[in-house]
Amino acid sequence: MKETVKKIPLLLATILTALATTFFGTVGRFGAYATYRYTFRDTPVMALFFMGLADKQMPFVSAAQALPRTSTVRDESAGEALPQETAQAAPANKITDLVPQVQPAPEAVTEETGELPASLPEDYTQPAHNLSYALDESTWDEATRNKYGRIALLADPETGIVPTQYFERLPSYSSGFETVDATYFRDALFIGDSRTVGLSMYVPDLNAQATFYAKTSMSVAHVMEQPFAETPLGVMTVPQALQGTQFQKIYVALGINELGSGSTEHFVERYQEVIEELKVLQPDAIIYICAMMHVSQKKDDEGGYVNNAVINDRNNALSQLADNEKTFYIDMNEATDDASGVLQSDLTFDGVHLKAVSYDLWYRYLLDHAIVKDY
Amino acid sequence: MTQFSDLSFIFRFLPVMCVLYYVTPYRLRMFTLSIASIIFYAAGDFRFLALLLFAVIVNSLLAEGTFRKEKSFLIVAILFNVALLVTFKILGQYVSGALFPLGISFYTFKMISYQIDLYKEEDDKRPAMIQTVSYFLMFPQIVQGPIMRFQEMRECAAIRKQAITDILPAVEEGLKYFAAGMFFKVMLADRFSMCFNEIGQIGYESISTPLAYIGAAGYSLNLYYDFWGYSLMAAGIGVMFGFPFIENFHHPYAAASVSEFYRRWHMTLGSFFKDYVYIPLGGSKEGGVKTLRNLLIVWALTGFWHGASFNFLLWGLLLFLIILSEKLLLRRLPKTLSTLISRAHVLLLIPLTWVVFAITDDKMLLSYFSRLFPFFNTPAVMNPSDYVRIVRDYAHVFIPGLLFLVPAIYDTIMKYKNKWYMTLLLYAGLWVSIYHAARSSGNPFMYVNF
Repeated sequence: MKETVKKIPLLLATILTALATTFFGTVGRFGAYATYRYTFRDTPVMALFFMGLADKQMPFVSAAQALPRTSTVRDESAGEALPQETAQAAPANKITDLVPQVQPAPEAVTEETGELPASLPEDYTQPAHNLSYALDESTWDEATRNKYGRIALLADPETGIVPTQYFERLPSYSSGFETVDATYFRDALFIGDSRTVGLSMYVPDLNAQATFYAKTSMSVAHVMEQPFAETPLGVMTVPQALQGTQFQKIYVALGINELGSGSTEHFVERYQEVIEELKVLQPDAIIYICAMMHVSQKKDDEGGYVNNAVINDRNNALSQLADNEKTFYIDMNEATDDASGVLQSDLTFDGVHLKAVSYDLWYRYLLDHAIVKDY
Repeated sequence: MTQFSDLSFIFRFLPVMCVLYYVTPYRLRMFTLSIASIIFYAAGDFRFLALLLFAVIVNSLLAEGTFRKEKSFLIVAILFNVALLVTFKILGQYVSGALFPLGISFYTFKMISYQIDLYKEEDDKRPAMIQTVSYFLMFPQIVQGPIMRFQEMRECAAIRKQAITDILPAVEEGLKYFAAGMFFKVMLADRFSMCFNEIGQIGYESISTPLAYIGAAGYSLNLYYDFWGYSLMAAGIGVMFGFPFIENFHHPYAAASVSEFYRRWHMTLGSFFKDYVYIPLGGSKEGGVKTLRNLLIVWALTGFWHGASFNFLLWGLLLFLIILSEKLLLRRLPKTLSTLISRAHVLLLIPLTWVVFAITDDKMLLSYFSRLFPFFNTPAVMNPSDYVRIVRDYAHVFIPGLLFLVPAIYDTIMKYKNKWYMTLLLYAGLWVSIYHAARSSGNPFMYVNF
């Protein structure tokens, strides 16, 4: 028998490894890996350990200590202070002195929670991407509107106070989307996943103008951490790259790769963090929050995590992030959906990506949905 | 679970069945194997389990007659199995893919070979019913072969009494083949599959010509490592259960001609057609037109066996033409020149035939070939440097993928597989593959990321 044991090293090593990884997986299942998407019926518990290993997450910590992905990556030491912080320090004027009959802006997002204020005026409607504000602008005179167009939104909802410096700094925007030509994208940056990679590769007119920081499998969770931005100085992280260059427009088109992980709330929270960080890094830029493109009916029918119900749910939540001041929500699905609201099947091979010849539809949509600053 | 690279298979079904199998008294082991196989099949395709069992019963009953050398029984058995296969091939192709029963191409062929061998062989020892049934059902082979012959089962250790000191080394040996197969499947084949899928995403009409060739190579390597890896895993499981190692691939890309390629590629299918179609038709003995006819029949059938659509028939006919040209024309050329050309056939023409094999849609196939041979039109949208990204993203798969085409590498690993360093290598290969399979099981985006 001893002789036999010597003859089976691979079998013994494999059994031992299986037992050990099963043990780690089991420990982690009730701790560090508690939030992982896992079904015991489908997969041996050792898989949890390997998933954790991929996230560099050891099993021997509690669930609360785990999941670094949810933590903020905002760099507090960044040179530019956050606008809200400035608001405390800067000399302030009362908005009501400047603009007659302005209500406090109800959609101002409270800083701490990232949620809307609990009480909203009865006549308040959530702004859509047509830039309609809750503010009653009809009572403004032409000169006020031209001068102070959109400033009121930045007023502190409690006090109605707006920091003076915003009056000078913020340009006002035209009241809706305009059609532009390719040169509009000269100072534009696109941040995205494989779909944006496709856009850069198959719309040469756009690629000639815009900058692309895009990579297959990119997600909101990793976009600020992974070095993937290709710059003349080499490949670096987005924050590093943005310290060297200022853009006027930033298109963020992410989300499809994390449909299978976390909740919509968590996704949107993280998205908001990314937007805030971009705002700090690029104070002059307007940010386009791009809706995720739908998938085809066939892909939807596969019943996986990638389906239009989740996409719609998350797009809907993303649309709420737009303040229509610095951040705008655009939904390119208008250009690629069929009548039933799914990606047209003839535009795609795998149901998820546009074919090379179809990217033009997306580009046309972008040309027709541009926000133009009127200085 | 019917995927051998599935962790539920490796760490639940396989060890449980292996232990149950060996704790069963040896006379009843085939019974345990049959039950295990039925569970395995039910987990993969419960709807058609009844069809499989029906085919097993019909064949077992007909075998009574074929054993008595009654030709009518043999003919009925062959017709029954062929009709079963053809019916479902056509239903699956033209009505709905859901109507194609799991493994039917393989189990009907095993049944045909069983009936013919039983009719022809002179052994007057009647095979036990349970042995026949377990041969038809055995789970390592039911989904994708290899098409093992019944004779190989009759002579193996599985049906004899074994001591634990024989069993454990057999399991160890099988695990080594399994580890190699798992590595090829998970670390190479699945990644080449992603590569070819990315080319599809662009749309074949819009790919650059270099990318079209990279795609042909990528798909060829995907198919090779997928099927070779699968075959190694299947044969390895067989070895664990006391069956002989069934070789299904023998370094096909090292072949000196396309004819030789197909003696090294999916060898159990090739030898099936050779033994049960080509030779009974007269093979190449009668020469001339008859050989030509026999070859044509074999390749048309091979095409149809892979699928009932136009591209598979076209694929079979292309191979027929290449092999014919090797037989008729190349022989007349000087030796060095003919060797050069037939090697080029293997390395250049075979990948192109795989493109025909891969793309079932005729229009898309035409698009792909118009990019391989870009003399007829220019695409409306195309990025001439599209291949740069693919090369950059997949170089780390292409390099080992191409290296393992060299027979010496795999052969050396297997020759010294009992040395500690090779065992360590196989252990690493197995667990790296398991790690990647595990990540993809929890995260569907690992392999399908956008």
